[in-house]
Amino acid sequence: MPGSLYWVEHETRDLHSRRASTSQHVACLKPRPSPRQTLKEYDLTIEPAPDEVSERLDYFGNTLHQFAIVAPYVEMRVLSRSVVDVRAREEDVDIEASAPWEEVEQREHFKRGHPVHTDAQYRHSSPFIHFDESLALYARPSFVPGRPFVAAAVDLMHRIHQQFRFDPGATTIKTPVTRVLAERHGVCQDFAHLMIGCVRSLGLPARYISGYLLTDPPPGQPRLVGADASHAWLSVRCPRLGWIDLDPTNDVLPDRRHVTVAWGRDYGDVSPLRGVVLGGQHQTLKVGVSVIPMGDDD
Amino acid sequence: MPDVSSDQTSRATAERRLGPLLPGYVAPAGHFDELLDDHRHSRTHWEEFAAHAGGLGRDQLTHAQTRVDRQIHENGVTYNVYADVDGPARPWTLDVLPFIVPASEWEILATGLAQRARLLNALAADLYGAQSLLTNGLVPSSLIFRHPGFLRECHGVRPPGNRFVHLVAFDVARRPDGRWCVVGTRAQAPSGAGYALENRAVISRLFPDAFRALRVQALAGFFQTLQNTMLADAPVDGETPHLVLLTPGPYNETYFEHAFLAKQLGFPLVEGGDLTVRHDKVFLKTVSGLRRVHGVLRRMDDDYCDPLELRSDSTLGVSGLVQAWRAGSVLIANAFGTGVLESPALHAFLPAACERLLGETLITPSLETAWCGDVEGMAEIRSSLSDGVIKPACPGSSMEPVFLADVDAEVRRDWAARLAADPDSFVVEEFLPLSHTPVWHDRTLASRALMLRVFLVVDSRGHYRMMPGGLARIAGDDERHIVSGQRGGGSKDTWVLSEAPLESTLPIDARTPVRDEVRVTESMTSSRAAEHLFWLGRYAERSENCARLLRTVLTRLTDPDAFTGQLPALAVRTCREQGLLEAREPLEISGDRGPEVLERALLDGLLDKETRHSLAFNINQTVQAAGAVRDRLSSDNWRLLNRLHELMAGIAPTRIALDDALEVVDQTIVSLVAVGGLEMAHMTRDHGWRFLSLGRHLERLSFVASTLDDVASVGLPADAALLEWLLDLSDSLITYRARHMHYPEWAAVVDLLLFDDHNPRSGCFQLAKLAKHVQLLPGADPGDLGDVLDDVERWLAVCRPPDRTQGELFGARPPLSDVLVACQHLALRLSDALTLRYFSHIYERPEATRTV
Repeated sequence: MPGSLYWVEHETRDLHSRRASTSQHVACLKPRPSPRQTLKEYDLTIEPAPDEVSERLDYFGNTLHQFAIVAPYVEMRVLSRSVVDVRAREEDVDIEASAPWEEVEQREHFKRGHPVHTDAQYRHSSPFIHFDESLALYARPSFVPGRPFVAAAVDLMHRIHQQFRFDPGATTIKTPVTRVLAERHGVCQDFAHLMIGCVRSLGLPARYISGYLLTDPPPGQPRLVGADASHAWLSVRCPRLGWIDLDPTNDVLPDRRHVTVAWGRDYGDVSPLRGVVLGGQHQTLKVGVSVIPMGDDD
Repeated sequence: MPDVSSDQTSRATAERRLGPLLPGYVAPAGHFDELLDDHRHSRTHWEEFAAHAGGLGRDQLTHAQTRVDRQIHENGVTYNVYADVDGPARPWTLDVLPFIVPASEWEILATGLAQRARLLNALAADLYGAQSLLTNGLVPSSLIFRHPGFLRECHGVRPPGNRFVHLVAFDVARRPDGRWCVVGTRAQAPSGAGYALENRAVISRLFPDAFRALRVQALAGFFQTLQNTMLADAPVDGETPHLVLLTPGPYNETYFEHAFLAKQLGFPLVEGGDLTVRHDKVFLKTVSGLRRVHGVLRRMDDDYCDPLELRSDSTLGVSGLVQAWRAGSVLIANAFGTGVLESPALHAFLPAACERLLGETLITPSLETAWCGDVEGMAEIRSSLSDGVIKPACPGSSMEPVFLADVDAEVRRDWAARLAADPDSFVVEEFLPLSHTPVWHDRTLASRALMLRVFLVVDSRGHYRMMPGGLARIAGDDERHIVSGQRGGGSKDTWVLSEAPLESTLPIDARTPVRDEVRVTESMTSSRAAEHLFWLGRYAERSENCARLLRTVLTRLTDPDAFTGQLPALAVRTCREQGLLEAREPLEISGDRGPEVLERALLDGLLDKETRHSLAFNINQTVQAAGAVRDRLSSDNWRLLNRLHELMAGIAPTRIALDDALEVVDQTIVSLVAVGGLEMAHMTRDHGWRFLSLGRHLERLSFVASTLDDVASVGLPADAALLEWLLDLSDSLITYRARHMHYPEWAAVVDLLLFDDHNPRSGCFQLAKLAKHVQLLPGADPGDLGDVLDDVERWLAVCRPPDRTQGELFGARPPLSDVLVACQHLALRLSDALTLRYFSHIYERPEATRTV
């Protein structure tokens, strides 16, 4: 199976106009293993040196690092470095082989005493994805009766890619998906959230994925949008094919150029670095990401 | 106990006692009547109550109700004095008649609800552990996964003893056939137990004979059990256990109860800002440094408890608290994540969950409920879409319950469509006609709908015990459906009778050793409490200064002989400086109409809190500061403060008459003096008290120095009326007259008010106290405070009566004006230094951040 080895660096610099006295943080930065991805090496460097760093798995199986800085500081730097092996799919996804979407939806209905798949949690609205009828209406033309779930999802992805404008200044992470839909622009998080909302509004499961893109494309291929920062896409679950990733920002089914860090219901479950800072004021955040190929291992 | 129902004589007597009240009392058809049976005979326990109540005539009951109202008011049992400071503080109304439950009936309820509490605990353990109920389809995963109270951050955490639910409350109601059912659950931070205790204290004293004769069970053991269990469960690591009660703060609607419970349990009342997490351990910020906390009884909803892991916009919580809990270094009661147990939709699935988790049949039923996402359940519920009640399945929706019996066919069709489109979001409950109970209203016995909130606590062996009593809530006049404290209903004391003679009320729990906590509390003054106490001292003193200034000026205005010479100009100057008059407002006080003009200006400004530091302003600040440290003040103290609040609220807002104003001012002074007396006579001399005293002495020093300074500004004052006023203002007139037989002389007045270290109002006295208290404050590295203390001691040496052999009286001292200016300056510097050293770090506001 062909694989690509990547060197990934994700640097966050947190600058304050006044000295922060103490702070506590939770980082979700360590790429998680998956059937097509292996983490070869990992290092997390924090400056100033934190009191202690504890590592644990969250509810979704992502690795979290929790740490506190008790010395006063003006600038904090968090550097996450990893070597990741990403393997291509053994064969292309046969999107037409997925189950009809209505069948998937029916399976999720509650019947007393019937076993339930734990992925059922990805069917519902979540803190950053509150959907209404407008999302279902937008999704309907793709989800025509009897259409296989993944085929419908791919069609929806094409439409979002065509009809929405990538615009880094237009939204914030708090912009509701209903407004993203109405205004037709946003960034990768918005498109992932919007598409997840569309899929869930029909009662189907979809989850949010945070990760990275290869910074510079292989010769002859275009540079992907969102390569200089952390990226976001989504995954839908079909009972026959399992989880299938979709990247509406770039209109592709992620293969060897996407490095997965974590997944959850939405951005809120997997935000790369969240914290509570005492004192400080006026922070500026600087984030830099680079994903460099170290060569193919096939 | 004599069987009253079979005794025709006493039945007749009882009926005679209740009889005159009964005409007009009717419980509506289809509702259970708590007072009368189907033959309109009063129920046995009511007869017994009537027999021992000592007369239940209209006048007696009306009189008793008045006393209840007054008592409740005096105790300050208000939902929240902060929400509406200027309006009438909304009192928690309490009906004079108790709600009585016979022993046998209570026993059944207690057994059923103890099982239910055990079930909820097992349910929490399953949801936050194996999730077998979800994977086996016994509880719908859609219900749990979309519920905002299901906290994924808490999954996998096993609290000590696998105990998630220490304390739980159920709202129970009676069906028309008299059987109880559960209507609602409060499983994360249940409120109401403190109100139940407060109600008991008021009502039991009204009917002491009946209370004894009916063998009403006591409530205190409930709180003792909670305390014991928390002590047993807290991970103390060999240290003396230190438990706290976490409150969202004085703006919370049930803050009164938080303070009340904190006092009852002996836990310090703390806010999120008082706690900090270091190395996965929780600490309280005290004036003596950080002190480890081993257990938290929380009265805060769990999503607010930690801005780092839960709601990032919460400014009430403690960053890192969830991680400390996960690490097992602190007990949180109830466990984080227990909010999900409150979902009304769970009622539909509890019978199956009970079979699976406990291997038992659920004893006490819930209100008949169907979750709309459950097709079978919807088919089973009888009343469903004809006369049921639709509610949201998850909290956080502002939707009001929809009573389908009350809406027309079109609305019902709309709802049917909505439920079909989004069934998972709703539940349908049967409509339950609540039982009716007698209440005393407008000199008659009226009937009102009743719901009972009962409380269960786990003991250290894992058994749930139900408080033998509870908060009986009654609907308002026209509120048929919903019994809610927020809607202006009332409450009743609940009397649970016992068959056997009462034994000791304290539960004997052999496994919990009694621990000596006496020494711990000494150092446990949180920085926040210290700051509020400091300001309580300052504002109480300012209020008193203000009231004395008003009294001494207003009484002299009506006496043409007293209000002459230099006094009028100086009185105005002092009133301006103290903020009783607007600083720049021109005031023509020379001439015949001068006294009248000044009187009007002072009276008109009495209640003005906007443009001046009026008496009302200072009293208001005093009560607010006191409210924030309510757990540290005795009920007597609080009663006095409440009275002060009342005095201000009772003043007519326009054209206050002089005699009315003087009466209020006099009463204010009496109450303030009593507050000061309580501080001296009854408060423990801990650091908290020290900050309170510092506030008082600091304010007193500033006042005496600035008023002396005012008078000294006229040169060498010889005006007897002026000096007499100054002495009166400093409450030192009697002392002066006792010592000096002649009219006041300036040198002697200065000596008494500034240099006499035996006069508790003198500047010298204040300096000595300030020096002493500052020296006893905790902590090394005094910083700026050290310099201020040096200066306090230097000026104290200057002011102290010099050794007579060492020189003449005035010659050794710097000029008087220097002393007066220095004293005022010192007061300011000391306040700043204390703030910087002890309080300022609590102002650091946490700010949540996230990266993209």
